[in-house]
Order: sequence, then C-alpha cells, then structure tokens
Amino acid sequence: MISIYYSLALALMAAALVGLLSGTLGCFAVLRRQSLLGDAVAHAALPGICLAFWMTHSKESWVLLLGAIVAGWAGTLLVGAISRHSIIKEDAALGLILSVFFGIGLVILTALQSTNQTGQAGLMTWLFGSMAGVSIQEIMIMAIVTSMALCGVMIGWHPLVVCTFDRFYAHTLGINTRRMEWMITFLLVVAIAIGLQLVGVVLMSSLMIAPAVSARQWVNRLGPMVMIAGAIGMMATMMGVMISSLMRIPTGPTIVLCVSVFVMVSILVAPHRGIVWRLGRRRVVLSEP
Amino acid sequence: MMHFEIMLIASMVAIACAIPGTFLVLKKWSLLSDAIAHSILLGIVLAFWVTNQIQSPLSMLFAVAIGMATVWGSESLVRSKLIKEDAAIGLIFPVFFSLAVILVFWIGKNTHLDQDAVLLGELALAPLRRLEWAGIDWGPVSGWYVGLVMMGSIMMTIRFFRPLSVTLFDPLLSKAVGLSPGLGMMGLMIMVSLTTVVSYDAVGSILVVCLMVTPACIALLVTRELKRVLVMACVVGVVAAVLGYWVAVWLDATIAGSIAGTLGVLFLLTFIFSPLQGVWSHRVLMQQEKIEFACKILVVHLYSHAGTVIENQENTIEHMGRHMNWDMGYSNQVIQFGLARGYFEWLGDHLNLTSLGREWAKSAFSLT
Repeated sequence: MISIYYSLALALMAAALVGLLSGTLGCFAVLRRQSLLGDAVAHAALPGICLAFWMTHSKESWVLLLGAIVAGWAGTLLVGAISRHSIIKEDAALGLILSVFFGIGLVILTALQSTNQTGQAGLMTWLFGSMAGVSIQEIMIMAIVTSMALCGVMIGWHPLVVCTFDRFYAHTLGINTRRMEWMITFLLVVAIAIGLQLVGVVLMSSLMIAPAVSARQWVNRLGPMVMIAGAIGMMATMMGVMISSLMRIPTGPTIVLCVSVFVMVSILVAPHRGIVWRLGRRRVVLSEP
Repeated sequence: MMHFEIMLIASMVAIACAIPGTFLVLKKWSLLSDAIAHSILLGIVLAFWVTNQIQSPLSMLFAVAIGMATVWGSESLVRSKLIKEDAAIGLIFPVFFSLAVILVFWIGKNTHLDQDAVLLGELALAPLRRLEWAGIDWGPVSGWYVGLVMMGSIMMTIRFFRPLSVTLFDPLLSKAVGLSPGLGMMGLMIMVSLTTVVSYDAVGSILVVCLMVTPACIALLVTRELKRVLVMACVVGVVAAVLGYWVAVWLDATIAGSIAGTLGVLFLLTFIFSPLQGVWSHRVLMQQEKIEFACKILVVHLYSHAGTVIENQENTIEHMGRHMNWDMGYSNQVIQFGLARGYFEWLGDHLNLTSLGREWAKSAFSLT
C-alpha cells in the first residue's frame, strides 16, 4: 500500500513542477503570439530523444532530456530561418518543421526497433506521456531545471517584459533584443522538454497555452498573470494526476481536460472580460434609461 | 504487387492532401491542418464505437462534423476577443484529442483500435484489408476510400476553381458577386476533414500534416501562379511518396515517417537551390548584381576619360585600385566580367571601350 502512495506522491510532485514551469513560461509564448511554438517544439524533440538514446544506449532521463532540448532548439531556429529567408510564412514553417522532424523521429524509432535493440519501448512513453515510473532522481532533475528557469525569468524580468510587449522600445532602451528572444525561446524549449514526459508530444501545446489564457482573463498585469498561470498549471496537473490514478485512465489527456476546464470557467465568469460578466453588464446598461 | 499497391495508395494520399494543403498554406491556416488532424480522432473513435470499423461512411460523417466543430470553436473563441487566433487553435484540438484518447482507452481494451496505430499509421498494413465483392478481389479498402476522396477533391477544385479562389483570397470581390466569403472556407474545411479521415488509416495524422504543408511550401518556392503551384505540389507529393517508400524499405522503418523525412530533404534542397527563391541562388544573384554594378562604374569611368590626354594613366588596372578602392583581385574580376560581356578590350596596358560599352555607359547616364 505504502508503495502505491509513494509513487502517487512522486507523480504529484513531478506534475506540480511541470505545471508550474509550463504555466509560467507559457504566458510569454501566448503574449508573443507564439502559442503554437509549443506544439512544434514538442514534435521536433522526438528525433533528438531517439538519437540521444541511439548514441548513448541509455534511458537516463537527463540524456533524453538533453536530446529533446537540442532537437527542439534546432527546430525553432529552422522555423525562424525559413520564415525570414523565404516567402513561406511562420505558420507553414511551423507545420513543416513539426511534421518533418516528427517523421524523422519515427523513422529512427522504428529503425531501432527493427534492429532489435532492447529497451526502446520506454521511448514510446514520450509520445503520450506517463507519470507512472517517475523516480526521485528525475524529480530532482526537474526541480533543478525548473528553479533555474524560474530564476532566469526573475533575474531578467524587466528586459523580458519590455521585449515581450514592445521589441522596438526595448531596442531603444539598449536591450539586446535578439539575445532576449533567444533566451525566451530557450526557456520555452526547456519547459516543453520537461513537460513532454508528463503529457506527451501531442498534448504539450495545451499545457503551455491553457494556464496563460485562463490567467489572462482575470488580471491585466503581467506579474500577477504569470503567478496565476503558474498556480493554475500546478493545480490542473496535480488534479489530472489524481483523477487519472483514481479512474485508471491515461494521465496526459486527463491533465489536458482539467486545464481546459480552467480555461472554460475563466472565459465564462472572469470579472470584466468573462462572457457572463459582459452579458450582465450589457443588461445593466440597457436597463438604464 | 504489394510494393505497387502501397506506392499507389501513398501517391493518392499525397495528391489528396496537396490540393487542400496549398490553399491552407496560402491562407496562413497551415496549423489548422494539424488541429483538424488531431481532433478528428474523436470522430473516428465515436464512429468506431458505433460500427466497429475504422473506416466507414459514418466515420467520414463524424470526422467532418468534428473538423467543422474544431474550426467553429476556434473561430468563435477568436471572435469573443478573449483569445488570440494561435492560442485558440492550440486550445481546442487538445481537448478533442484527449477525449478521443480516453475513449480509446475505455472501449479499445479488447479491440484492435490502439492509439499509436491511429496516430502514426502503418502503410505497410494497408494492402492487407481487401475489398472483396462478387467473389473478386478489388484491391485494398483504404485505396478505394483514398482514391474516391482524391478524385472528389480534384474534380471539385477544377469545377469550382474560380469561386473557391475568389471566396478564399478576395472576400470583398466575392461579396460583390454574391458569394458568401465563408463558403470557400467551409468547402476547404470539408475537403481537409475528409482527406484526413481517409488518410488516417494509411499514413497517420502527422504525415497528413506533412503532406498538406510541405509540398505546397516546396511548390511556392519554385513557382508563383496558383494553378502551377497546385500541380507542382501534387507532383512533389507523389515523388516524395515513391522515394520515401523505398527509403523505408531500405531502412526497414516506418513508411509514413520516411515519406515525411524525404519531403523534409526535398524542402531543404529547394530552400537552398530554388532558382526563384533559394538562399544559395539569391546569394549568387546578389554577387552577380554587385559585380555588374561595379562593371558599370568602371565603364562610366572609362567613358569619361576616353579620348582625353590622361587616358593612358587613368584607364590602367593599377589606377582602378586607387580610384575605386578595389584590390587587385577584385579589379581583375570586374575586368574579366566586362571583357566577357564585350564592353571593353585591352589596348596595350590600358582599357579601351567598345561601341557596346559606350552605349552602356551612355544608358547609365540616361543620355540615350
């Protein structure tokens, strides 16, 4: 009995870390209109994970994580290069990189399987995400990376905010906007790579976007928004892990449904912006003479 | 026979995807294909629940309904002005997809519908399910579905090419001639949903996205006219399908992934070497123009000193270095360029303009 509770506790801790990190950083992605970057990076990470496994033959979490970060980073750079140097727009570049990288990842994965290398089965969990076998070492890695990323956000808070909202103003202030943008993208890639283990490739975009979108409905300032988004991300992922272990259904989709409930509630009832609130206000205005 | 059937199905999927894909890329809705490809899984699963078949007319109906629901959902989120477009797309499809995965998990425990097969597809298995009717083998079932949808999209695109392009690319004109601008979008979304659902079984959702977006991007780098882009995208898709299949056989890996990889390589080559847009070609063109401009300056210089007393000193290669701030190598390069074009020739150790060069120098001053 104790071991079940122990593994559930571990899963909850991991979920909380992932939710906190992706909720916080998701705010910047959403405000910079880069919401779908999460989706692309998550898919682009697959060949990195497979190559890392192929080269090292280890399933150590940090090795695969490194592979994911490198491949995801390469993917975002390519998206930027394509949309800058040709008539192809960013959305098409995202779709292209996403599907091509993912396809190459699958080729490596299946080629590994056909040459009968043992232990590749674990790679499949990255596709759909799993919290079942998370170990205390993995949580340590997650905690270290999460706190480093959050520290990065806090240290660079002021330039980060200016860059997010007004690049040109940031440039006039003497901020190196290109370096700031690299930093934001790098942090996003790291957050996505961490989250992949929990919810899987397909559903990662939701975990980035949903907390930020819900938080946006409640407040108009970036500081509180980031904090609320982090909190919502944490709550939603933990709820998802609890529900999925109670009902014995897959973790990733459950988390996504939980976080989507937060979005729905926020859109409906948030003060000033919410749909119900606006309906109520319209009625008040109409009833006045 | 097996090879041929797989390549045929893959090529038909490529054509069926390339047509709506071109419109999506041009309208900047590329990621809608990603969203629809994922959320349609819910339609397939619901239909599977009822009919116990992955491909059936009902699954097509459900898939179109879910595809439309995805588009409508994200559109209305955008219209509420609470959420930006990119975020809205990224919010809706994970919800449908999650519901589908949970449903698969519940109902699929003792059936053959498992999540990675639907998500990733396995083209190698497509020829195994055959259509038998009146005792005769009519070929693979999915081939028929894909072929029908492909023929449908080709015919619809040809028949309604004008209204489709007008409603999609010029809403004002389409309103003026009495066509609702939403019509083209609706038709396109139905096309995308149908293509996705019939391609699912064969190639999986990710390759559908790849086959929609990548051939259109490649074609756009090579040509600009809509009809040519459409044809070119289809050709590229078929080439990639056939090449990718042999890569998969060679590597003993997934066919869908290999086709995606092949398309990626093709795109990279086009991106670098395309005569119209390629990064490399652009560079070469820039260098050519730079040297042509330098040559023009040189010709003007020669022209202004031609026939004067100091011609022998002014028009030597050493003088160019001092006058134009060119080094010896570059001066040589420019002179070679001009000699090849026949603008001037060596007269002893200084350059002498030909009549062609004189005309060119005059045209540089617009003194014609």
